[in-house]
Amino acid sequence: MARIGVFVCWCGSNIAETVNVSKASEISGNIPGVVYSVDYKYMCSDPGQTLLKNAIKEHNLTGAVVASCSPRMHEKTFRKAAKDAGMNPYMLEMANIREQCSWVHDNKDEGTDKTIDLIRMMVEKVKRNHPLEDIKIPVTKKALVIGGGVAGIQAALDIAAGGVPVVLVERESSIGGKMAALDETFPTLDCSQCILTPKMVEVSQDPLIEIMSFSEIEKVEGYVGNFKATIRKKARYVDTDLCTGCGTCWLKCPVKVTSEFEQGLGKRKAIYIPFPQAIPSRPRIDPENCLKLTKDRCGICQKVCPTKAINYDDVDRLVEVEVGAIVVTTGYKIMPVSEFPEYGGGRYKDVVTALQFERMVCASGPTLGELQRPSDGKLPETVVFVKCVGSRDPEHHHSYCSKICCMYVAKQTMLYRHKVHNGNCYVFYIDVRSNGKNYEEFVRRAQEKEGAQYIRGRVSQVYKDGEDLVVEGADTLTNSQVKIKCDLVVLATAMEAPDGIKELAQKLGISYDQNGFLTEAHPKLKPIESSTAGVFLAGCALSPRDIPDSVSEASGAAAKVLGLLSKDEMHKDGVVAFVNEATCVACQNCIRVCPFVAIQLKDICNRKGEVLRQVADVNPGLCVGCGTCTPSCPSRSIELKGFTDAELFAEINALAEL
Amino acid sequence: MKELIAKAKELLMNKEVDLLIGYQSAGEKKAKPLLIKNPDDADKLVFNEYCLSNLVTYLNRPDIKALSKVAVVAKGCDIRAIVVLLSENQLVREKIFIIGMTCDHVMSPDGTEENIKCSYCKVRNPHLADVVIGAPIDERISKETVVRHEDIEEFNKKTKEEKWNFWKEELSQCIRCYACRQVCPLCYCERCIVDFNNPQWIDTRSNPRGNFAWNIVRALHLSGRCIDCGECERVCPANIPLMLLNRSLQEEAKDKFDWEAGFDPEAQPPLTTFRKEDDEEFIR
Repeated sequence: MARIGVFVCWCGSNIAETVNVSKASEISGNIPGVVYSVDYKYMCSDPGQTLLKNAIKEHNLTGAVVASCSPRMHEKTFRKAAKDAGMNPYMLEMANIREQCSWVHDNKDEGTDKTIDLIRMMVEKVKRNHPLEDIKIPVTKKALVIGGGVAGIQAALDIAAGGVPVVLVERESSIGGKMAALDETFPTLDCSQCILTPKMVEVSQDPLIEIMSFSEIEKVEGYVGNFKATIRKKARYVDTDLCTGCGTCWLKCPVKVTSEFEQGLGKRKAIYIPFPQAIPSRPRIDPENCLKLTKDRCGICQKVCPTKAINYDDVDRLVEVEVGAIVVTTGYKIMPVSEFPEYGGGRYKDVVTALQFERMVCASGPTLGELQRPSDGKLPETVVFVKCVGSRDPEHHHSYCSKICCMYVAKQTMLYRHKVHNGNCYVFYIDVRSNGKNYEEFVRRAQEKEGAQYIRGRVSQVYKDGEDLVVEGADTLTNSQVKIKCDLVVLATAMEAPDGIKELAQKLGISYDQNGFLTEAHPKLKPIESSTAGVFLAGCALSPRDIPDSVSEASGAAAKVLGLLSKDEMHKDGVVAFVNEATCVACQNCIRVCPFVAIQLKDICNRKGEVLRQVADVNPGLCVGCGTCTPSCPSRSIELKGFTDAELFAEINALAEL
Repeated sequence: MKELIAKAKELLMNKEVDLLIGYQSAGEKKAKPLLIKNPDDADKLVFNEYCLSNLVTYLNRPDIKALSKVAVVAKGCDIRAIVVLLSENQLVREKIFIIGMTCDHVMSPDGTEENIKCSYCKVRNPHLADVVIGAPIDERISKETVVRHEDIEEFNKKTKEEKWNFWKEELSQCIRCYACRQVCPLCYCERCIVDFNNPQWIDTRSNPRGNFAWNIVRALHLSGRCIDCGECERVCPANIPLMLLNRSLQEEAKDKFDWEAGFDPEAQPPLTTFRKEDDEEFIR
């Protein structure tokens, strides 16, 4: 016989204001099978949980219904309390009388009636519930980090510091990401490469970290604790084991191509490393420009290579790695100037992105730090910076703020003035957002001590007047139109989600927003978790962020990974699908619809081992209990534990019969 | 006919098949199924425009599945059912021998006129067969043609209320004999949803609620699968226009997913597959 307890929560006044909780509790006591009912101010509080535990023991309850908030909020809390009191946790159900009742109604009588209905439904369900066991799954103690920018580097280092091996996958031929291309960093003006390259070296020397550069994720299968990732190691045409990185090949290579790393401002060879501090410091051949690979001529690099590392017949290779957790740190890209013809982007060489400006002033840049404007190499005497280009512009581009532009523009005005002491620099801005440690002071320094002139307003157009560029815009503080003649225009273009991010998200089964940035599981309380267990997110993959934020998130994600992989086995919710093998006809509907590839066909054999027929078979480790399979079954032969047809039918019937 | 009988004898004599399913005469302008194991019985075989039954439905029978190989006489429309069954893992291709019959048309069940389904048939010549019997016949419409059914277009002109009343009237006559299910080659579940009694989702009594639930569930289970053989409507003792339901769902599948069931055994049925490149965001 069922002995069920009903616990009606007031949630302070959240529920009690709209629901007569004592009446609800009293009437619930009369539902057949209910042997105990009570109302209490805060069921989730310590005394509330103790009340539940004591009632389970004293009244020898076989099941319990807690009528309170959404199960998303406190199901875990109450099921754990029930377990502590010796009840199978799955014999406790919650009736949501807050989100689905008190918060959406205002009539107390009707609210009370509805509450009683909701309780009645759950009592009928609990009567038919079966005790379930958690599922134990082994954990692979290895992590995969996707993206080798500063966030990925930090995550890999921190995970390895916890003793867990890491595979760090980077799409480009070197790790380092965008940070490797920056000159100095706000708000301290320390050299970006000087602080990043030691970390890159540390990664390369850590015995627990395996770098897979020039590689991409092909496929990810499995589930938390047990992922199997297939990684495409793209043809590099250089054997990285034989190569010593001596550099003879790229010195001798006759082909010069525009350098992506230099943002189109410098040249590289067809066999190249993107920048001198590249890790791994092994070149790759660009097959689109290599004479040997395009026209079967040249072959110089192979001739000069002292270790015979050049292999023109190299092909993509697929490698499989098994990992328990994944961190996605895929970063961002910035909008090219060509998207902004109104600002002369794509038309005038001297309209550049902020990232191009970084390369123009960087000591390791194409001009070795000598500031020259791209068109004629002239030292720019007047520079105009335009902020919010493509950001905060919902009509034309992106509605979001790119977050870092306010700070790096302030920095770039300083870098400029440090190079050109008498130079004029103007900044068009909408707002100055400098909410970080020492950020406001930094902007004030740019404005007050370093001579940057800030003009509040948008730029309407940039055009050419002889050799000069003219920036025309509004000064909304003086309510006037301004025209500024200058030599160089720097556009702080918006940060965007990188190419291929949607495809990657689909491979990983994680979600992304309308801008292509990955979505966190909860914006406040799970900011670095994805919607898929075991996949964590950090840095600009989520949305625009600065270096300190990216790095701290990466460390946070690493802590999550280490926490997850610290156990030898994981316990998983017992709510999984199961098949009625007597009635399954193996039509494979469930197999086709399962997004987690958790169902396969199984042979049913006789004693001689001959196959009699096939049925669907659920791998409980892979099943996440989403329930997609159950409605696909024409004969109701696959059901979800904890949500069986009998349980749900009883729940609906309790309402429908009244 | 001679060719068919000769082939049947050969198959049975050489023990290439254990059983042969074909048609025999059932009087003037009538034919009925014939299941034979003895080559001598092959002389009873007929094939004519009164051979309406979709014999593929027998292939789902457990005792027939247990045989090592079975031959079946099948028109193009029947073969579409075989294709669906193959794609749904219900048949093993090597275990069936398809005697494909070219067929210009069959008659309506009352034997007075050409069957309506033949007017939009695309498979007068069998598209999957081990042997084809009969002279090739000109197809009247190409594979690519999007078939529009006049009766559905007409029906869709009705208001929601008129439609509801129409079906209420029609389905009230259902006697729940389940002949539609038994004759359907695609209703192969060993335990039908209507026989599932823990809980009893569908009221088994012949009342409006149960009749609606049963007939709509069956139509939905056939959506994207029905191959338009019309057997359910033919055998319905209450003369419910079941094909009106089934055909409108076929048209939906064609419009929404560019899908027609029963042509390609390799193709994945649209209602139980999802593509990551689907237009709908929710699916990702």
